[in-house]
Amino acid sequence: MKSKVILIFLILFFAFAQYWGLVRAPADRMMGDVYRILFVHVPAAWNALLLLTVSFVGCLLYLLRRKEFWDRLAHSSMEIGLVLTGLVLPLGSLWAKPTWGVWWTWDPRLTTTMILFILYAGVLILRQLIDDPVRRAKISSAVGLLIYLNVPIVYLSVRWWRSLHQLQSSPSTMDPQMVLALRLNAFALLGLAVFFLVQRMRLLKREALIEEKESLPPPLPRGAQS
Amino acid sequence: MIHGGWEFVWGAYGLTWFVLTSYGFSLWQRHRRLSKREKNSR
Amino acid sequence: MTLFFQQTVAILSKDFLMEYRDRSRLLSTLLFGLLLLLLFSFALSVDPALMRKMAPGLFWLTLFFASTLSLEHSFQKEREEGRWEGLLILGIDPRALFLGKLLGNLLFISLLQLFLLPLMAVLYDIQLSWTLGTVLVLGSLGLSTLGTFYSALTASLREGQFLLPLLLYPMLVPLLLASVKVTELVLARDLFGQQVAWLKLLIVFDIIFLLGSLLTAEFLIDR
Repeated sequence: MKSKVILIFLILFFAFAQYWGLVRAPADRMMGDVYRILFVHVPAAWNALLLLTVSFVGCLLYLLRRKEFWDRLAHSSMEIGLVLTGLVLPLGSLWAKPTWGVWWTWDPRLTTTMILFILYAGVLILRQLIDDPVRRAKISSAVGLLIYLNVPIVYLSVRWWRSLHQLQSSPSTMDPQMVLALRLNAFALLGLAVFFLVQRMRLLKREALIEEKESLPPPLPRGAQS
Repeated sequence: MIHGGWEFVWGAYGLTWFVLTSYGFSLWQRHRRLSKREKNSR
Repeated sequence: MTLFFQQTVAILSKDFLMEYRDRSRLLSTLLFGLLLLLLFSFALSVDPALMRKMAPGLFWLTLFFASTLSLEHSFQKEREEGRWEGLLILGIDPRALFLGKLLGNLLFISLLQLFLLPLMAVLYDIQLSWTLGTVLVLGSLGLSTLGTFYSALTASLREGQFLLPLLLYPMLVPLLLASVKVTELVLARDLFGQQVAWLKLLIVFDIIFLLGSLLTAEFLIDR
């Protein structure tokens, strides 16, 4: 019940932030109205990266502490990070088409995001193939660590390979209304992502409990002992 | 300055809502399936 | 520490002896490499100038695909009849097992390269040089490190050997880019500037993944 109230509040906040981005923020001098895509694209990218970083921390702490909690954190944040990464890519294409005229370029950030998506999808597939929960946690944490280490290397190598990159637009060159809209949207999406994360972790915990119960032998009827 | 392009904006916002809602829905479905399993295992 | 290296060498020499006595794995991998070189030139072009330009990329792709064929089997013998558990009960250090397998795969991939290079030089008309050797060693070290890591991983699954390329190739993207780029530069005799940055990237890549996978190897191998 409590989570329903929180969810409704989060959805309202999300809709409010989008209203701000779509209506209240002024049109850009260069990009016109198309730039409003950035109010969903950029927060999704930030939150995806944040969640994948959380999953890295979860993997690391699991290997150090061996508490199931950290594995559940790593798994859940990986899944939601993957959903957001999968969202960022088509949103980027929708931004690229009207502004650059193409759906896709071999820009380092785009290419890295694509590879990131495949890497994390691979780990989630891998998780489904291991039955023993402890081995599953150990192996996927080890892989999660290596994958995260690979991200900056992929980025660097693609950047050198293409030897071109655009500068990030910093908030100082933007209208204050735009900055506000961007921040509102980022926090609104963060709220939803955290909500999903908590729910996903609860589900994993319940699932583990059920599996534990099912793996036990059925209780003996009374009087059947010895 | 780029004029128009609202169809891309609507596409992007629609896609965001679609993806987030479907993920939320899938979580809810998994929750229901677990509840059913919990009942059966007792 | 000496025990660790003794164990590593023991694993390496055991595998070497087994591969030497039953050469089918080596022979089929080499032939598969040759086949790939032919297939690429059939599929892409017969224009010699174009082939020479694409040769570095094709060489590394051939090496990746052909070595995957053998990497899939690098833990095959251990999977059967509980030999994996047997080794662990004997008290072998999981890292020594990993390192031994890694060196074995490195040897295997180096042999594959020694076989493919002259063929490549003949078929695609490129000139070989000693500078190329450094690149090949660094590239194959990275390939065999991650390859051994992921083959240990997929070998410990009951099913799911099909996952190896899916997990391995995206990890190898920086290695592929760096190796192809350096090979291109070496073949074009561009001996200044850019090449050094790429070589450094290759070295960083090798070190990070060698350390990373050695540190996490026990989680894969221990049961």
